[in-house]
Amino acid sequence: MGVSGLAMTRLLVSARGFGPYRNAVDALARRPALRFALIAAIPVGWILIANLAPLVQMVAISFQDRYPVPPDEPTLWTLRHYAAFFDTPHYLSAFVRSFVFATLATLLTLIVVFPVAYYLSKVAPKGRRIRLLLLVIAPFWISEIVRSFAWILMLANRGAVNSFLDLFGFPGLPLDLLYNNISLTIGVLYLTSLYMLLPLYAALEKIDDSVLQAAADLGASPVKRLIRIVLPLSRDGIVGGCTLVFLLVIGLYAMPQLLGGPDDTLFAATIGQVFSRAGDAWPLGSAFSMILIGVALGYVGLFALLFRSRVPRGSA
Amino acid sequence: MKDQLTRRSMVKATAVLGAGALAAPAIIGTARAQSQTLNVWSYDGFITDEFRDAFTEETGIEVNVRLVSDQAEQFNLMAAENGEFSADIVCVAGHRFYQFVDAEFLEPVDMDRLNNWSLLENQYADAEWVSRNGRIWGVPMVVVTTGLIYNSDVMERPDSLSAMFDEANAGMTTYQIQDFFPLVMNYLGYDGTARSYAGNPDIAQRAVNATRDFLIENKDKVRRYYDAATEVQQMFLTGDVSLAAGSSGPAAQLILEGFPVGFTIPREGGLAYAYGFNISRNAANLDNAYVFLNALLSSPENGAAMVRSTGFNSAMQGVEDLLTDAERQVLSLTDAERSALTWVDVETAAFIFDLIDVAAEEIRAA
Amino acid sequence: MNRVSAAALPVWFWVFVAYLFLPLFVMAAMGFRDSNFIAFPIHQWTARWYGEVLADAEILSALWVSLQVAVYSMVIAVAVGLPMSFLVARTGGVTRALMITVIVLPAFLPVVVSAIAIRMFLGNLGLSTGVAAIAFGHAVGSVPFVVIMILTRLSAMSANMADAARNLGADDIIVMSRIVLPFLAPALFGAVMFCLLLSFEDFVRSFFLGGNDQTFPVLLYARLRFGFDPGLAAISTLVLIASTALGLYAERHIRRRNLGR
Repeated sequence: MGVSGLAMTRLLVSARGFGPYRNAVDALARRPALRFALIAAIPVGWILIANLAPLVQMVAISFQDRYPVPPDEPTLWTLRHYAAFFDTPHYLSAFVRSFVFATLATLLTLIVVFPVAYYLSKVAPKGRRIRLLLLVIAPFWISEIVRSFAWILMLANRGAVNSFLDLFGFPGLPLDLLYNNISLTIGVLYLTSLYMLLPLYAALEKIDDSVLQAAADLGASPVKRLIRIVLPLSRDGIVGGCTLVFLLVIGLYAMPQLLGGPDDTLFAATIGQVFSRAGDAWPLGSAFSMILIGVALGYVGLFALLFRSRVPRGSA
Repeated sequence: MKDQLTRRSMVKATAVLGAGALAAPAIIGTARAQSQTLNVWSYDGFITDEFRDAFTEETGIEVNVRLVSDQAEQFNLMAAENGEFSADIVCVAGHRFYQFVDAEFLEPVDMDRLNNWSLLENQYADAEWVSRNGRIWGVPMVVVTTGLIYNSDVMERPDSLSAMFDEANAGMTTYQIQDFFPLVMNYLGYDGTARSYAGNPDIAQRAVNATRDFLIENKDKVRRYYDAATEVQQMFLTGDVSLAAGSSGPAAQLILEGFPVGFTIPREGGLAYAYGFNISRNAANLDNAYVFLNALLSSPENGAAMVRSTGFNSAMQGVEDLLTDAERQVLSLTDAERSALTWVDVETAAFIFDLIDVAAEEIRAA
Repeated sequence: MNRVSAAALPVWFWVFVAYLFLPLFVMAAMGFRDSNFIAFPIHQWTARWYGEVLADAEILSALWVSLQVAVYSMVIAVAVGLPMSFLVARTGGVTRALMITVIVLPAFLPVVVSAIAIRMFLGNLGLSTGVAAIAFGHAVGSVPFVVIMILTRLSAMSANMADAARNLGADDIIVMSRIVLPFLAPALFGAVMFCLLLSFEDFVRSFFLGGNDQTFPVLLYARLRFGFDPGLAAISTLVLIASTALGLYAERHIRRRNLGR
């Protein structure tokens, strides 16, 4: 932080010499309720306006018989759009597939990215860490669609991988790499990795190097150090990263459609399809979205709760 | 290939010619509207910068263009706008634009004000697919025909849809489910246009179900289902499919590029419909909208620019003369193919597309 | 074992970097293809596409709009997300789980639904569409990412640090700016990055909430409709290079300043 930080502190301290400022700040400190209200005002207002108001609107639409309602017709209320979900087995199967897929994708991302985050936050030379981090972030500036097409060019029958292997006279070409689980996995990881990496980095970075050093000096094996020290201390990062990746994957639409095969329909794509057929699809799409949100939130909330109760707060 | 122009720069070059034709004031008419703006939603390449600039210079009307990429997003946005439409002209024509008519998003075209309607090719101008409830709802710009795209290095020109379900092509085919569905209905001996099912939903439902089951049974022949034309082109280019049900435009672009593909209308038939412009209901700048549409129709160069950016045939007269021999050749259909085409019947389409949408979901999820 | 793991980590990292960049090198190469389509093999090379996109006023203005939207939405999302995280950090157990649930709600709402809902909401209030509306829409989507990101560090921050400073006479503002925010720096860095990236890549909200100014993804999707030409590969490559250069420049600038004084 250096000298400029010190100057900043001096500035803030000297600001206390200015009476009205000091009085205001200190008065606030004496009134915890007011202070709390000030901190809480923006978030609570935001949640009401940005999170709940639009939701209420869509809930209302999900119970309407059709939407938009033509100007001179009455609004009819119905439960049939919710019933459609439970009556139709293929919606249910896409739904279940989505959750299994998102869970597996989250675990895979965690396993692949954890060593990367560990390297960046603990092993790489200190002066280069931020630069390496920026390097890893760079590809994410490119649109999801363009990145998907980039992978198509890599994995296609006449793609980079098959062309490269062909140079060495590899037998059995072209390898079937595209529009199946291979391409889907590669593509999903390509989109999610950063959303695991940054939380893990933030959490790992705060682990004191001396703790790790002490454990090593005491003869703890790398595996033991990982399980006993690193993982517990990076718990918040793991939970955060998994949450972010999970909510990203549940909403993925374009990439699985571009890289997946004909059997890989996910529920987000189902909802997307509903909205893309135009016509009076909003009530159905809204109802499906409400079901998705309800279950997904429950899932994530449960995950967070379970994780919390197993490792009591403050044990870290 | 060296001195070949790119698609975009070619569009620009031809549009300069268009601007010249536009300078003839008689064609545009003299209407000077009260408000001097016009808001248009358009596909990329439908309105060239040069045309737009010349139009503004000529009429004083500022044209704001918002690019759109498909029909459904326009529907959803118009629905969200809830009657207060931000655009005067939208770009929703296609085989499903009846949905916009039924949702009361559009204004019927007032033929007395669209003098240049007569500059459309006759066969397109009076086709049934632009009318619903007895009125005309849009101005067709390019004509889409659907059929089969095939890699001519790998296979002979297929003359029947059966090629799509042939073991020999297993794992090398692709289609967009909803667009392909009516063709398969014809192939199986049902009525893909649903004209004969009017008032008989049970029979239609049975036909749709049988077709759905057939497609599920043949799912192993499909490499994947696509959504956008760009995906089909890419799958041919990368050698991942050799046969696709698709429309003429993407195929024509590949052929002009020298890539070994062909496009054909199979003997069981193909569908035809148009992309074009529509006027939104209660458009704020209605007068300007008519001035604009008349100007657009007034010069074939605009039609040629659209052909070059989409690969589809133009609905306007005189465009053919502006195309190169290669382009004309690619875009032409044989008489047999032409007679196999059926126009999407907007009056009956609504009813059958609703059934097909549900069936498509089931095929995808099966 | 120690030596193996010491060597394995950098190797794993660089393999990961290669995985991230190989397809992008392919994309960059496609930008030089002398054709209207991207595919292997590349017979003829040309720099024409790169030149053409750099001279394309439509692309440049769309990038400018996207950049503005990204920065505005990031500022909004951080300004909202930071106090929100403090609120969450004060709670525990079921309350905490419930709060997080409500906060991450917009992230689970399918984006088309969220975009439509916000568009109708703005319409009901009589607010207009455009850059500000898109920025608001993007912020709605980004706030959950900001909160979860900040919580990865905030939960672990011991209250002792702040208390000690207070005992030494520091007021709230000093504690916040000199202790809390510096401790949160790595998480804030991540939060800012997520906001910028999520905004820069969003198509659906930008489309529904935009006026006549279109963002880069809206332009990209429109151009993709009639074919993926090498120009789109070229502009994507240029965006990658420009954003990386900007990031490295900022990093260098900050490092220099900290060392220099």
